Amino acid sequence: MNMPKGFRIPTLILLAALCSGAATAAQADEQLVYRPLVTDGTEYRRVAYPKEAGTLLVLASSEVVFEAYRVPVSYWPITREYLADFTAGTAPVEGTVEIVDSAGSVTTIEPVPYLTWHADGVGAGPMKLISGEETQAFYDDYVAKARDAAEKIKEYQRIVAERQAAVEAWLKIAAERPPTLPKPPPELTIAEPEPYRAYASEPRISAVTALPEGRYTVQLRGADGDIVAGSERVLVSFAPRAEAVGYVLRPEDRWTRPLVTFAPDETVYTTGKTDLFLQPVPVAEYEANQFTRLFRPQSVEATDPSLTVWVPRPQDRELVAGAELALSAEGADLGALAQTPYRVSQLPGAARGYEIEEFTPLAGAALEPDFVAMRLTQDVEATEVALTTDGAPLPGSERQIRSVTPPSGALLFLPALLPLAIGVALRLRRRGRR
Amino acid sequence: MIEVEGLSKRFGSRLAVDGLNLEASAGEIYGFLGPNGAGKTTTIRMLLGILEPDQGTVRICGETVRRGDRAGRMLIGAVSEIQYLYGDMSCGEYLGFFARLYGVAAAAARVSETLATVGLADRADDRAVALSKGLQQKLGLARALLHDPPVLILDEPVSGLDPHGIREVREVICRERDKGRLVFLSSHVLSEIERTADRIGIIRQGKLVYEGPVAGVAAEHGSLEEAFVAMTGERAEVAEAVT
Amino acid sequence: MTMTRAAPGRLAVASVIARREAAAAVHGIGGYLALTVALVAATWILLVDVRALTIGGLLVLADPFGPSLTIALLVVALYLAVSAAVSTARDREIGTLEVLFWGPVDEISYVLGKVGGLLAAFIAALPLLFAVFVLLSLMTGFALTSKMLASLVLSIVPAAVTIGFGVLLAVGTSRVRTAVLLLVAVIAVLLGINFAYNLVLLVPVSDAASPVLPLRDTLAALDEIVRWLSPFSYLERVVDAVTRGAWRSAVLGLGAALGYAAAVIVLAALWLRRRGVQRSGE
Repeated sequence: MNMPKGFRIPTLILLAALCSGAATAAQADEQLVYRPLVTDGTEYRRVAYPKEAGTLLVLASSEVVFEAYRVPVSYWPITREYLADFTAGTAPVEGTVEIVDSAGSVTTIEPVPYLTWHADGVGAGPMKLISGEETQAFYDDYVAKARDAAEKIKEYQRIVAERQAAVEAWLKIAAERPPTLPKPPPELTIAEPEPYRAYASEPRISAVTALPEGRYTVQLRGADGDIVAGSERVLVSFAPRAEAVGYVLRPEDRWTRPLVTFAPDETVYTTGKTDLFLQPVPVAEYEANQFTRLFRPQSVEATDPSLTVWVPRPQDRELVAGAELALSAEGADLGALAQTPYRVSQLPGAARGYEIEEFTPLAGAALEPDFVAMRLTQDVEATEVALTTDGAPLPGSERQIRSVTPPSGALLFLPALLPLAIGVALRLRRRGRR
Repeated sequence: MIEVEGLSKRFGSRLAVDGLNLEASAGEIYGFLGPNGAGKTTTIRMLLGILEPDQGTVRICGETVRRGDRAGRMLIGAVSEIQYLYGDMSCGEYLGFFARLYGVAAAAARVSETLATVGLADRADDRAVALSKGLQQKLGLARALLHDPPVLILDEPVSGLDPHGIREVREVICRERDKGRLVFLSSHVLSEIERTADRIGIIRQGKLVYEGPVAGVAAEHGSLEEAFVAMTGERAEVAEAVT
Repeated sequence: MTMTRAAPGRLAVASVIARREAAAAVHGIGGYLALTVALVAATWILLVDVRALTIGGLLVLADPFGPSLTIALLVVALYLAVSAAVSTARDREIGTLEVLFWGPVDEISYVLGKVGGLLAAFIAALPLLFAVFVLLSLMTGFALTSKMLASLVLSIVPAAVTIGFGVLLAVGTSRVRTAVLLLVAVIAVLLGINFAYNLVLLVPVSDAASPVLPLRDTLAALDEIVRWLSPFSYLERVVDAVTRGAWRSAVLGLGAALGYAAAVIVLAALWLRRRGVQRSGE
């Protein structure tokens, strides 16, 4: 080509990059796609793994449901992902799931019934997987409880409606001012039934297993005894690199805008003008590359293997239940704070508009605390805190608390002038010598 | 001390130096003459080892010198027509820097000694770039003498100097010659060459057209200037064409 | 009369040049100005957290000085690259380059001397940088961390990369102005590609046939190349790894920086040999 020598190679590189980038959504290619139900510790999601998504990722020792489908897969250039099309409602590929470990030994995972269980309701609190023989019984029990709760609510609503009708009738009579007014309908004495928030999905049958940390191969063995073509895939089960206790920090004057400290090397800086509510949260550190790809296996974020991320472990919240916050300053023990339930009362007309007070349950009332925390008052001199159970600190729960009063912006620039001052002084001294 | 055999250098289509042979010995002042563009600077650069010849060899004190030959450069002290100086250095600092560069032992004492040699002892603390041209030339000479080299290569050392400056430089050159150094001197000031040089080489269009004692060629043509013009002017071209 | 002495070793020659280079940097006002600008930029970044704390009353930080230290080191690295380019180009422009090569100086000792000198000046500046951060720590109450100290120390190798880069670009130029313009242009291209890529990522795309997509992929490829070519990315990589406590990444980054510095130094020496040492216009 008629081009100066130095431009040829860069031009070729540019053209190659353009051509690769110009690949529009390719023709759909039917392939075997794994669609396991995996958890990140908080929720379960079905994640599609076309072969272009690479290694399957699961959390170690967490139950995983394995299913595979033969579906069309096409490249979606906008998100740079290979998308599998499950809309046709294809049935799972028939075959028995086998897990091969790094030593080569094969474990067959027989399909069992399973369901997903939301004890606190969908979207509130952690999800659990119930699997095995108890699944159907569990589901039946859930259905019975849900029906029972619904019946109770229905009965309550009927009673309320009845009473309401009686009240209206009595009011009508009272409006006519009869000589003798009958007694009004008595107050309701029954409490409103608790709503049943829990939810369980309908039982399905699939291969369910929990794998220790390690590298495996997952495959499907067909009825003919052969490995199903395209079913051999690498699977990595990864565990947390570290575990600790983090805190959700709620300043009293901005309780709806909390900050979090999950990593143990973080320091909490405060201007000391408000009380601080600390809610302990068990946390775990994962390799970011693996954790972010858990639900998005084709994500191109966080490719640095040394990057880590700290995430909450709500499934381990029992770890911090009943724990106390030990306070200290320069090694001196300043006591401990217990976890206390708090309620936020709205105060119309008050400067802040609300007040946070200790929660006291009232008989018959359905009120619950807004949060449970340890209150660090602004006058406390503590510079170190740690969560303790039976006096022993929980690993990774230590935090430094620093009460500071930062100076104004302009003053902060003064130290930056130090090098210039030194340079000018040196120059003047050198000139003086000459 | 300097032996050049078959030295050639081409720049594109122009043959700057063409099969040059010359020889200069210790204890003499060798005047290297030629008109502008004759190839003097190119030859000097090849002697200094900063330009690679296309052909031929350069030997200094019997050692073959090539481009990049650091050991060979220790044998030479060079002074150019214009002194290239660091703007932030005094004369003493400038010489001290080069003394350390050449690995001169007792650098501070050597710096004082060479400043005295060239008559700049009282200017050690003055900024080098602030000196007059003549004094800068002397400073350059002092730098060339720092590491006590057997060969001095001076390119137009008296250019732009007043008569006092010329005399002072002449005295230094002659003194160094008397000490046994070879002073390889390139200059357009023919009167100075005639006065100081022992032997001369005249280069024209990249070729050496004369090499020999000054006295001889001056006597033959009446003066060195006449000899130079005869050997390098139009008449020389005609004479060459005829032969 | 004369004593023919052996040429000093290359390292000895390089150290003489380095000493002069370092002295010029320490005695000149440019370095101090650059440090001040770097620290003003660092303070500006720090003010973001200071303001957040002042307004919100609460802040959680693992390494309060990480971002501000990074910006300070980047500004200093930029100054080092420019300084190296100017010093190298000036040697040729004023003719001192040739004078050096009349002596026992060769291309590798010259380049090593240039890089070594400015690196020595950078190392001398580190305690001053640290002292200012100590003052900022005392004023703000933000804690200094061991990671910050480690970042300062480990930034020395990436600093050598930026200095070598400046020398490499200038070694073939004839004028200081040309060298500076070339360096600015190269930096502008390197930064420009990264900026353009990040800008394109912000453009919403809803159509698979959008022309933004091939442009995005092209810029992604170029950005990846820039990550390996830009001397400043090595500094960022090492400091970022140290800040995150990713020591393996930091060591790998240091290794890569060392390799790149060596490559740049060798390339500069080779280019100087090819270009020659003649003064501009000769």
